[in-house]
Amino acid sequence: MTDLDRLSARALAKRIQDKKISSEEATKSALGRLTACHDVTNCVIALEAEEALAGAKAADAAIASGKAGPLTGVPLAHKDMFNRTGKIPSWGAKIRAETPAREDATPIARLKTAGALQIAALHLTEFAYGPTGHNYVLGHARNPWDPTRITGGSSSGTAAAVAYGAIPAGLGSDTAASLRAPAACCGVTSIKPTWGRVSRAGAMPLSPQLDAVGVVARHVEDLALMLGLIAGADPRDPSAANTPVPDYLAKLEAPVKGLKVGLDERLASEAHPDVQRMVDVALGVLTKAGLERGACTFSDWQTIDHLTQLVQLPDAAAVHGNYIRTRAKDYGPQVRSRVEFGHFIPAVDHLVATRARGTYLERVLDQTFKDIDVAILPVLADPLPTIAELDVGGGPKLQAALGRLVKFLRPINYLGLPVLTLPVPRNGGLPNGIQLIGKPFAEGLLMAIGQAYQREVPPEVARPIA
Amino acid sequence: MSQRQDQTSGEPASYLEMTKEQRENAKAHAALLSGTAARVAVELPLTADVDDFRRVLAARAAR
Repeated sequence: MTDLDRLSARALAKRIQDKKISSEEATKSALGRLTACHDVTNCVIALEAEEALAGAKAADAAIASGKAGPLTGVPLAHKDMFNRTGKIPSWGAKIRAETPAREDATPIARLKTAGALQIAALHLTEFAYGPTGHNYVLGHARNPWDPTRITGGSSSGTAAAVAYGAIPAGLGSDTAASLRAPAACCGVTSIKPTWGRVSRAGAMPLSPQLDAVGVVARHVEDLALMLGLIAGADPRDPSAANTPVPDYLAKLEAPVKGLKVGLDERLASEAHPDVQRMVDVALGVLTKAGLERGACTFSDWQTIDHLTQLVQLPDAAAVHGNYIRTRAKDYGPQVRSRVEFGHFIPAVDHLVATRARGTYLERVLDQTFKDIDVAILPVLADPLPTIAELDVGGGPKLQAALGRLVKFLRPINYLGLPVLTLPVPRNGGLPNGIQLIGKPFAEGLLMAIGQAYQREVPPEVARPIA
Repeated sequence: MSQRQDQTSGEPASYLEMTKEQRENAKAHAALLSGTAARVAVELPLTADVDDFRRVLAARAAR
């Protein structure tokens, strides 16, 4: 079986259920690919081969006895920020929890219930606090298309492993960029759900008011499959929304003809010209798929960007209130600097930003989305940067460098809206991506559009470009 | 009290070990964001509430 690196999780699950391949074979192969991927990208924190193979044998036995869930025996791996019973997640940091977790994070538990295996814990930016994949504790993540370039972060390991074809999909999280930037940098898809769509119970917090757990995959159908499994209310997380979870897989085939996709041309013009051309190409693909091109305006973009920072910086500083006081030297320079910055935001400014959030969300829905179904924006403002270009440490260049990288990303977290990231056609070049932004809880619509897009621009498997 | 705390007492977050340059950077960035907060604050109704965000998300959920 030579195409395992290209299969979706959904297709692999079917092959395993149909006994065309055993979970053990699929898992051994995935472990091999993940090891090869790590050599290129530094994507693995802990390979869990023994446990994975034991799980695969159990999955094969379950299938033999007629018991199978939607992901039984499928090898996955996730960003190492989720609690798992008996384990200490690395958080991508030198500082770690003192005791092992007593139960699985809810998204992990739900994937386990569906039969999925976890074969490794994957790289992330330290404490998930950074959009580039730099990590001064673990070593930086490297892009599978060009190892001198960033993977994007903070879900760096998941995106690299998915792009390489080591795993079909994995979990990540997004506070200001962290599912979208790595998906774009590595040329794969991601879904950042509406804030509250997925439980955060047992996930390492960064800025709880902005954090969203989501999925990175090569195939949009895997985003639909996995989001459908992990979404929904959770007694362990009161912020998890009660809004019903649709059948996202069924919605994938919903017609997209006539839907309106809007571009804020003034805002997008702040991107590098090459990136603007990529957005035009992606818009061409979407119109070919039947969407109609419209216009929209995010009139308060910079204000919202500042409000996002006024939420995020002190929120993250409070999360790290203990460690930054007691173990500051154990932080890498970028994260330490950003956590420290949060202590300089006045409480009143933070509260103004949190009180204003509903007002700005309502305004964006009434104005920006007045005549469109989804908005399109670049993910990155510039062509894929090198690791060296963004190796700015914790010094004065940090805010400007990171601010430019998350220019089109961070404000969406303040609004809590769902975003689908799609890779732009590479034409032999380096990857980049566009984001489709939807109204609250419109993940199903976004993924239906994504499915239509992938009929024109099929998923790719990443290998270093010569 | 350490010499560092003596030197920075009265400063925001004096309990953090930061260089003078880092403190100036942090203050400058906070001041930039404060300008936006001030502008937003004067436009915000008295009744604006932190729970408005979740209420709007739920009320405007796509059907």
